[in-house]
Amino acid sequence: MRFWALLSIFISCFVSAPLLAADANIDFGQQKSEEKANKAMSEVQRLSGNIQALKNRVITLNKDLRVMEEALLFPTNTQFSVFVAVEGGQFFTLESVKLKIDDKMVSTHLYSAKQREALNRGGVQKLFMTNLSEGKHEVTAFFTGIGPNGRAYKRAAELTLEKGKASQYLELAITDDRARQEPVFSINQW
Amino acid sequence: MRTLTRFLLTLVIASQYATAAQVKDLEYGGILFDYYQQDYFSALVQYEYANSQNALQHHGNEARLLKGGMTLSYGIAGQAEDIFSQLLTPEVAAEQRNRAWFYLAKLYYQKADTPRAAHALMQINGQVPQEIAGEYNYLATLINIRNRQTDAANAGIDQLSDNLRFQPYLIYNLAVSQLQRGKTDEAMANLNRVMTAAVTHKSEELAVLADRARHALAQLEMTQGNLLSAWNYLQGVRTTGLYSNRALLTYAWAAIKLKRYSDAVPALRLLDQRSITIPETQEAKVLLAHVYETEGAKRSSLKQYLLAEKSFKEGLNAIEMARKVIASQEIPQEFVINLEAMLDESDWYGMQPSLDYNKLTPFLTELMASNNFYSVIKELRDLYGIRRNLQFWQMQIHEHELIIRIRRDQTGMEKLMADVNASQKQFRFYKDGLMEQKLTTLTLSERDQERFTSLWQNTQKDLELVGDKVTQVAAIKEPYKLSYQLQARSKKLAAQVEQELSNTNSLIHSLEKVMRGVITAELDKHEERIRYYWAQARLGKARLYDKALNNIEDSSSGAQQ
Repeated sequence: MRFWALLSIFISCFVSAPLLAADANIDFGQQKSEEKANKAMSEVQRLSGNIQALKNRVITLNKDLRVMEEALLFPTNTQFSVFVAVEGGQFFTLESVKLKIDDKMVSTHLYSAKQREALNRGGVQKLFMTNLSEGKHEVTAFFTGIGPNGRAYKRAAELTLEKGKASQYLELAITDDRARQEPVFSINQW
Repeated sequence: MRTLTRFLLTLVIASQYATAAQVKDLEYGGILFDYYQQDYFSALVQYEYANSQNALQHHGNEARLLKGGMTLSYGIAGQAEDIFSQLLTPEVAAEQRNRAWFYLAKLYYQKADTPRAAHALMQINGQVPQEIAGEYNYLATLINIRNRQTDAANAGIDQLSDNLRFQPYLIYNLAVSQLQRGKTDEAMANLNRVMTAAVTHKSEELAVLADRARHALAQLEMTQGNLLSAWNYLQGVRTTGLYSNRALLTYAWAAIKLKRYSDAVPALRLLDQRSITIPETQEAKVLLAHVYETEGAKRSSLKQYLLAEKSFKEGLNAIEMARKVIASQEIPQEFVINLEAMLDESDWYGMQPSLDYNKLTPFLTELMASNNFYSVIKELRDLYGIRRNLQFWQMQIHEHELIIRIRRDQTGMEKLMADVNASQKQFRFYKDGLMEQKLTTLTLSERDQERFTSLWQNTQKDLELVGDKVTQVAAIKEPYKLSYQLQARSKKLAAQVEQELSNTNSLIHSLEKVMRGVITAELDKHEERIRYYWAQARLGKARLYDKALNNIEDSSSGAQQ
C-alpha cells in the first residue's frame, strides 16, 4: 500500500497537469534537424562548383564521343539520317511511325505524350541513322494515330531518292491542310 | 519600382499563348525535342554536337539563348550567367536581348539577389516576347512583393486575372508578406481572395492552396481570440489532402478551447486512424484520450491510452526499419531515381518504383518538401544520370575498339573482288534472261501479256536495285581504312571517360553521405516526437490507474468506517 501511496504522490506532482495546449511549440529535434540540413546545404554548395565543372566536361565529352562514333560508324559519304517533324498537329495525334528503306523495315517508334508535345512545339526527332550506298533508294513511312473526329488514322508516304556522295537528311513531315481539315504526310529531302 | 509597374502595364498586350518554334535547321529541332521533354542533359549534348557540325547557322543567338536556359535548368548557373551576359550587346536582336535580361532576372531571383533581379527586369525594352509574358509578369510581381511595393504588386496581380497558374499564388505570397509586416487585415482580405478563386475555378491545385489559406485564416482568428470564426474557417478545410492533418488538429484544439469536447472527438478520431508517421496523428492519439478523460469517459480514455502506446511502439519499429533501409548501399540511388514515381509523376507506361518506400518515405514527407533536401536530390539525380551515361560510353568504346581493330586488320580483298566479279556475271545472266522472258511474252495474246506485265516490271525494278549495288561495290578499289587519328582519338576519349567516371563516383559518394545524414536527422526528429507522446500516453495511463486506486482506497476506508 505504501508503494502505491508514493506512486500516487509522484503522479500527482508530475502528471496532474494534463495536456492543455497544442504541442506546436515543442522542438522535437527540429533545431538539430535544421542544423543538419543547413550543414548539408553548405556541403552541397561546397561541392557545387565541382559538380558544375563535371557537368560541363561530361557534356563536351559526350559531344566528342558522338562525333567520333559517327565518324567510325557512319562516314559522311554514306551517312543517311531520317527525322520526324510536326507542323500544326491540329488534325492528327501521332501514335507511331514505321520506316521502311528499300522494302526493309528499319525503324519503328511509339510516341509518349511528352514526345508528342515536344514535336507539336517545334521539336524534331532524329528517328533513324544508317549507312546508304550511292544510288537509288526507296523510303516509305507509315504514320499511325488519331485523325479528325477521333478516328483511327493510318497513312503512308513514299519517296524514291538518289543518294549522292554526301551525307543525306530526310524529314518525315506531318502538316495540317486547313482547307480540307485533315493532316498531310510527306517526305522531304534537306 | 515605378518603372517595373510601367512595364507590367505594357504587358497586357502580350499574348499568353506560346507558339511552336520555327525550325530552320533540323539539328536545332533535335535540341528542342529534348528540351521540351525537359531532358536538359541530352539537349545540351545535342546543342554542342550541332554547333560542332556548324548546323545552327539559322538559329545563332536564339540557340545560344536556349543553351543558357538549358544550362540554368541543368544546374550550371555559372555558365548560364555568362551566356546571358554575352547576349546583352546591341548587336543582338532586341527580342533576344530582352529574353536574356529576363533569364538573368530569373537567375538572380533564384539566387535571392532581388535588387539585381529587379535591375535586370528593368532593362527589358519594348514588348516582352509572347512566350515569356506570363512568367515575366509573375516574376515582376514576386519582386514587387519582396520589395514591399504593394500597389505595383496588386497591379501585377490584376493583370494576371486570367492566369490561374500564377495569380492565386501571387495573392497568397502577398498575404504572407503583409502578415510579416503586421498588416493583418489586408493579409486576411487577400487570403479570402485565394479562397474565392478556388471556389470559382475548381482544380486540385487551387483547392490545396485554398486549404492553406483557410488554415492560415483560422490561425489568425485564434490568435485574436475569435475562436468561433476560426472554427468556421476550419470547417471549410477538406478532410483529405495535404493540409487536412494540420487543419483537423487545429479544429480539435479550437473545439477544446471552446469547451466543445464532443465536437473535437470526430476530428481526432479521423486523425487517429491515419498513419503513425504523421506528427498530427501522434499528437491526436494522446489528445483524444485526454478529451475522453476530461469528459469523464475513463474506460474510453484508458483504452485510447493503451492503443496509443501500441501505435507508438509500432511507430518506433517503423523508424528502426527506415534506418536500416537508408543504410543499405543502393538506397539513395533507388530513392532518387524513383522519386518521380513516388510523387505520382510516373511516365506514360506506368513505371513502378522498385523500392519499398512505405518503409521510408512516410517519415520524409516534410523533408522532401524542403528546398535544401530537394537540391541534394536534384544534384544526386544528375550525378546518377551522368554515371549511367559514362557507363554506357564505356561499353560503346569497347565496341568501337573492336571495330577499329577489325578494320585495321582488314584482309581478304582478293576474295571480295572475286565475289564481286561473280555477282556481276550472275547479274548480267539474270538481266539477259529477263529480256528473253519479255520477248517470249510478246508472242502471247494481249490478255496474257497483261498478266505478266506487273510481274515483269517488279522483277526489273529489283534487278535494277541489285545492279546498282553491284556497280557500287565493283567501283571500290581498296577497302575503307580508318585513319590513325581516329584510333588515337578513341583511346584518348576512353581515358577521359574513365577519369570522369571516377570523379562522378567520388562526388556521388560525398553527396550520398550528406543525404544519409539529413535523413538520419529527420528520423531522429520523428523518434524524439514519438517517444515524447509515448511518455505522455504512459503518464495518462498512470494517472487513470492512480485515480482508480484512490477510489478503491476511498471506498475501502469508507466501508471499514
